[in-house]
Amino acid sequence: MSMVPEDLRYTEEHEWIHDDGDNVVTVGITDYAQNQLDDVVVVELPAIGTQINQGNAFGVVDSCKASSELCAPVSGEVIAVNADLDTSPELVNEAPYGNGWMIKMRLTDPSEVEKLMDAAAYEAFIASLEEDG
Amino acid sequence: MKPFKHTPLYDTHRDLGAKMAKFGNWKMPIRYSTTLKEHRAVREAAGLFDVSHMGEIMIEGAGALITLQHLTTNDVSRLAVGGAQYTFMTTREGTCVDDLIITRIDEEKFMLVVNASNTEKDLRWIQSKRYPLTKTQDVSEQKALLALQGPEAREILAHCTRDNVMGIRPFTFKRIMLQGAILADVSRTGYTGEDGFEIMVAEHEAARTWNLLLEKGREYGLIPCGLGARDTLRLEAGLALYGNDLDRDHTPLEAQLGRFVKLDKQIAFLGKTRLREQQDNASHDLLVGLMLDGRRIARKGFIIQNAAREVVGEITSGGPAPTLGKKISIALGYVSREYSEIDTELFVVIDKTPMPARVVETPFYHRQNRKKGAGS
Repeated sequence: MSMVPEDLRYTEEHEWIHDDGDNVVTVGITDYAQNQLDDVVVVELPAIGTQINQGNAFGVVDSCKASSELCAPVSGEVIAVNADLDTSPELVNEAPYGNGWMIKMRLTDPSEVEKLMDAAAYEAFIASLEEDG
Repeated sequence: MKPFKHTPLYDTHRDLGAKMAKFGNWKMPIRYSTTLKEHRAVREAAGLFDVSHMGEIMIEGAGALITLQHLTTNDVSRLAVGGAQYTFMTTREGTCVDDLIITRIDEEKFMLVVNASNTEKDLRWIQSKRYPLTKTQDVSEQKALLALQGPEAREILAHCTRDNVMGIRPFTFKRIMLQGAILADVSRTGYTGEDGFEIMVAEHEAARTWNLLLEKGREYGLIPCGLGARDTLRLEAGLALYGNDLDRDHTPLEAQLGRFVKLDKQIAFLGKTRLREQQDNASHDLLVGLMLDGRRIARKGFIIQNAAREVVGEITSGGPAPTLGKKISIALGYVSREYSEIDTELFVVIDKTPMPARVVETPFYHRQNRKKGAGS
């Protein structure tokens, strides 16, 4: 059973967003995603100051067998990056909603956040994936 | 109609919560926990793999030895009864049809263990070229094959039988009886770079054998391991994988596996002439090991460049090196001969960026002798 915290928003690419307030959000990948990926061995994240548009790639995750693009859930400027993931990529597997966080962004368009799935919708979404799998 | 083949342990894997995935036309367990956890278990304690999808072909009767001598590159006349031998079947051009292990059960009775995806192809190949009186039989469906691998493998196996397994030397096999009266052929072989055994039982004994080994092995740290860890382990051990590092476009000499090619054995084998030419010319590409600083992982098909950004080769396998460290990844690939020397500095193009990679010796990982007398 995947963890799906109530206070976050989610995308179909299995990213989560936490509203930090002041137009800043924290972004990572979900418990479901880290489980699907198997062990994360490399996380490549953008430089601070990078502008990203919603839906575009903002980084890469390498697992043993495959590489996955990280998809921007919202548009904005990268204002912080989790440097611990350079030496400890396994944090993404161990604590996907905590120390495995990836970037913080200053939002260009705050209304994008509300249009993302809430916890209940995301739970239903991954349940539907598990049926097909 | 079943779209995918299942091994006899399919339900066992599902019950253990394994993540199953397609592997050729098989549904196989990729992992039960995580790949790296299973990888570490095999390096530090032991892991149990279901490899029943591999093919088993029995070759016996008059002409069996001649048939195998003609079809394989290694010297089967040097394989004693009770022994196992790694070898290749090659085409007339010397390129790889498959890599396989031959075990000699009797003077004219051999069991071939071949790659799962090549079983039918190999059988047809052998049948079309065998000595007329030689019998060939695909016995894959009657057999289950488990691999018990790791420094604790011998202890664990010893606890599952009254027969002596401590005396089984590497690349030999023995018929034993496991607890519960399970007849098993065990060979001291494997694909992980660790000590261990491949255990062949009748397919209806598969679940009992699996459960016995897991139960007896628990106190030694034995866990079930899937194909994910099987691949990371064999890559660290520098072992070639058919379909990646070996294929119909490359010869064993190009793969730097010439020690399994006996050009001077008494019976000329299919491909010998071309392989002799290749050896004499010594101008062909070579499969090398590469170590990258671990920013990204190289994958099959990625381009290898020299410092002048010219294409000099291609990656055939790549992945992490969990035992060697986090900031390292490893790969195998074919390069032009002039770039094959150890310590040559090359580049692998990953997401359009050339990443530094250095040619290194393989295997990347060497197992330690953990116990007294473990080096036999």
